[in-house]
Amino acid sequence: MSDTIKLRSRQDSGYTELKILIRHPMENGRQRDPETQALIAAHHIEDVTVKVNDRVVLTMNMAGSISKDPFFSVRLKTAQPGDRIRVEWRDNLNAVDSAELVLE
Amino acid sequence: MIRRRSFLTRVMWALAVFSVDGFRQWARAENLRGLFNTSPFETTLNTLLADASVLDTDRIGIDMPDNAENGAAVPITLHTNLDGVDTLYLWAEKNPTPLVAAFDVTPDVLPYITTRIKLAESGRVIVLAKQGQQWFRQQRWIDVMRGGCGTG
Repeated sequence: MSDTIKLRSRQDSGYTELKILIRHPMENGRQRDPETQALIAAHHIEDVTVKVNDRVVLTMNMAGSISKDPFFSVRLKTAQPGDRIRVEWRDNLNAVDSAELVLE
Repeated sequence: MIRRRSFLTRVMWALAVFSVDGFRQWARAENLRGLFNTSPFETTLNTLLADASVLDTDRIGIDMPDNAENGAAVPITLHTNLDGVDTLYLWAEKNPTPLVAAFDVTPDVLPYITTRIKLAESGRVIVLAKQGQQWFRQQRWIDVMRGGCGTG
């Protein structure tokens, strides 16, 4: 998949707020198709990794209890202007996507 | 000759560091896969805690509404002023998959995370913080009008 991640950053006093919005169905395997009544197979992100200049600073592990089109807001403590932020996700079907942002 | 050797040494070091990191990540992922399952809350919790004791604390905050119209997307912020927390575990006791998320934090981020979660029905939302070998807990009740986890 591609272009599934939107990143926004905002400098605050003492930290940088990073907002992450991901387009993903986050099916937990318990929803039924409204027409056929068949169960929809589980399809959800398992981990989202946040890197600053290629160093992992946060790993968010999850299953189908995170809402559809996951949203995260996290606070980077040591990142500086010019640092490269990279966000990656991987789902239970081993699909992946990533996005980058250079802090202003 | 010397230059080539130092280059090779560097490559070997890079490979060694990468594989240690890679193995650690793989081991962590395997460990968590066993926790993100549909066992009842208490069962999964016991698997994680083994025999460790847990301290209730107000130094963990759970910001969320007291009641949610729609359990499909409930905004929640978890934060703590405990130092040196390794992981924040977020649980919804009534969800088919009670472990909602495990946030592995480092000193480069503040333990302050906002997201949106699904809640199956009214119940407790629990946050466990692991700090070295110690465990801390905070919990809050939330009323859910319409469940957001499907019926199976």
